[in-house]
Amino acid sequence: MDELQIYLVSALVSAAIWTLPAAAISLIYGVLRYPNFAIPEFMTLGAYLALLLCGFSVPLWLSALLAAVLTGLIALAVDQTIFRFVRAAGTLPPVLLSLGLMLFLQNGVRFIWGNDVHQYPIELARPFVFAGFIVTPTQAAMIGAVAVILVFGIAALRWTSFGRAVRATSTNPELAVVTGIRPEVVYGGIIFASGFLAAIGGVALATETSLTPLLGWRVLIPLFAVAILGGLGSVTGAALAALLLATVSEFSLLLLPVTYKTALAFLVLALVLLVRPTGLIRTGGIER
Amino acid sequence: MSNLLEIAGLNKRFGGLQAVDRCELSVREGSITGLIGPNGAGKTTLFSIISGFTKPDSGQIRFGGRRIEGLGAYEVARRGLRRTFQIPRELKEMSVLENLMLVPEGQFGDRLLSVLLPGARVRQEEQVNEAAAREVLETVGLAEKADIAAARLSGGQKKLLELARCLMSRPRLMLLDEPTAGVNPTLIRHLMKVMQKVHASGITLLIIEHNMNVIMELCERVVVLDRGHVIAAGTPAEIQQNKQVLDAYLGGVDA
Amino acid sequence: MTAYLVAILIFAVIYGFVALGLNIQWGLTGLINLGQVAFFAVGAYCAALTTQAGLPLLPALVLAALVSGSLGGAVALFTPRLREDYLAIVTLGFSEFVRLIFLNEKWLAGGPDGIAGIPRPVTIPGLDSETSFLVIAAVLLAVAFWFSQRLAHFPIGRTLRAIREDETVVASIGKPTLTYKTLAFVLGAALAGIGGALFASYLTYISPDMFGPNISIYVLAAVLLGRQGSTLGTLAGTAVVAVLLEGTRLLKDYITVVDGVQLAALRLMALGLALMIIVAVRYGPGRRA
Repeated sequence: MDELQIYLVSALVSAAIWTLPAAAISLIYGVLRYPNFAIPEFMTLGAYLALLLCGFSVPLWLSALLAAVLTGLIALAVDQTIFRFVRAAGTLPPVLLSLGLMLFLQNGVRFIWGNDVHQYPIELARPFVFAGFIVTPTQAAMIGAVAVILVFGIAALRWTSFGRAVRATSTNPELAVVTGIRPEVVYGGIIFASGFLAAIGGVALATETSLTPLLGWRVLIPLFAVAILGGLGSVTGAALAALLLATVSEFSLLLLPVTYKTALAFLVLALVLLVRPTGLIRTGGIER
Repeated sequence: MSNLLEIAGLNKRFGGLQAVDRCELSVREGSITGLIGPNGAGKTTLFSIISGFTKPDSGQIRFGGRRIEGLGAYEVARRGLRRTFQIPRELKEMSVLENLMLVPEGQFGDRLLSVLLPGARVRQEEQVNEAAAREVLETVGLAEKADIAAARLSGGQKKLLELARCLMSRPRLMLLDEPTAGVNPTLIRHLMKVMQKVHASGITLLIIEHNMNVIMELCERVVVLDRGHVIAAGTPAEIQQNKQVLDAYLGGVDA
Repeated sequence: MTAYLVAILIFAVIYGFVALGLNIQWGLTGLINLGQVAFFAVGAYCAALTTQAGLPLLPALVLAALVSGSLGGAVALFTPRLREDYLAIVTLGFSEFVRLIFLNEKWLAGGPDGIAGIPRPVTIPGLDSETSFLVIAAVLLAVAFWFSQRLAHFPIGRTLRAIREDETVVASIGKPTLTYKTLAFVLGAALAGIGGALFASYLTYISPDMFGPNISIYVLAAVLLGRQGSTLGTLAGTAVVAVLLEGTRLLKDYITVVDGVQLAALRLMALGLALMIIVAVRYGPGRRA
């Protein structure tokens, strides 16, 4: 039964694409306490920046890495010039800012690169086949890279002093300040990391599909479904939730037309919020 | 006289904390009853349960002989049981007068239909409600502040507004959560007079209070709560003599 | 040129309905709704399908309002306990969910091709089709404005504003907050539905890609610009947004360094930036909303 293997590989690929940007949403929610709707647009931006670098014959993996750093810096710059001013104003202002940023970034990409569909210069290669599983080298590299970054991220949150500062700030900001943690440094680090993670996710998504200005927007709902399902604030939770949602939506194809995959993610999201308005796994606070 | 409020076997647990523990309590119609207890004894939680904002785990609450423990907050309020909040929750962007004009029940102008019909009926109703609101403000001594934004009131005036909002509906029972906390002595005297006036007009009062002078002077009966459980009830004089109460306080707070 | 002006005004009037609706939900009652386009889209499809089946415009508008309003009520009833941030996520997600349904259900809505040949069934004698449409739509908007204004200033509007400030207090004085919140959502969605119905009838063609999140963002900017809660301000804000969006199309003839796609992108970039600046100024240090 080859179909089972095909579904499983697709699920793994989707999960790998969703994990890092969903973790970015989750991290920002955990530390800064707002849902950031611009994360999908940072995916798009990162993917196009990588395309730009590929144009200078930089290999894709290096382009992706450089684009991710650049995207992180851009996210940081936007945060410091605009978002920083509404830190004390509650949830709504940064949400509205992120919507404005979403419109700005999406159309910024459209302004520079147009509406045309682009592809990375990836040469066709013979896929790996074993036990009925068919995986292209690009997919294997993408999944591997995401796994490595995920492990690094979790380790950094757990064992570095910055990670401890992040967790402290998310659990109890006032107490964290008293112990000498500077919240703005934590916020800046989280924003940079979010831009970085989103960009990697954007490149990953673009290798599987193609580059259009709507690249990131199309996965907004699955990303939020994953972040909420994983318990906003938890990176490990995001990874597990990505696997779960990806598996469910792949197997839903047995019953539903393919175009309803995203709609299904919304139903999952709505259901989780209806049953547990505080999220499935836990509330607030950063976990590994 | 009969009991207006009767609580039997009430329990509420938050995680590992038994906030209300087999609580038994009654309030006689027409009385002023004090509810005291050390910090964290569960007094505010109890108010929150009685007024329908928090669901109890088990137990019964009877108000005027009828069960109310399953009702939502607004339904409890509609039956004539109203509460104030410990930290005043005035509606800041509205004027003091508007804060009160919001209160009357069954306003025609509160229904969507009123928006589509000629405004005469609503105007008339608003005049009646405004007069009633000004009268209540007169009673509590906020008449001069009627038209300023509620946000601009002082802390003590906000306490008065809480009381006024409660009074505006002419409830049968008012639950007052620390009406004099954080208020200067002059205003405390004033607040006590207002409460006596309210009581004299036929409203039963249940008051959480830390200021023992207020309790001794106002209340005919005092109930002591400790760790969610009623440990004593009686006249203020009896409570003052009660060793168990003394222990609870000494064990609960640092002098 | 006149035709162009009429077109801008028609768009302004259509967005006016949607923004007035959001002002009731968010401005007055404090319920953030980032998915107002969902109700706009449902109204548009509703009018498209029924007028094609021969229903005159006015009954079609009423029907659109009813269907969109019911959907708004359903959303409100499903989300009463959700906090502000979750409501933002759910409404935004819901709008994309609705768009996906129209995209996928070919039998209902024509799928990605949308619906063409929607009748624009009204003409006032002596005026061309566009101008008479503008007059009728503007008259309807005036009615919606009158309704919104009365709603805001009647006791019911006071109750809605009280819910925005502190829902707990409103419950404590014996008012059913869920009923009022649902009502606000229904009214806001119904107004958006009317806007959508007019949109479909004016363009005579609709497709799912017209109902992306942008329209939700336009009206958020409009309500924010006009100060949340102010009916007149909302309309003024809508006018500004409409001129910024549609008016700048005029520049196409004068600016030749950028092509059409780029100009469209620039307009939306400008709107995104404007939204960010308004928020930063409105909620920035030393100010409160």
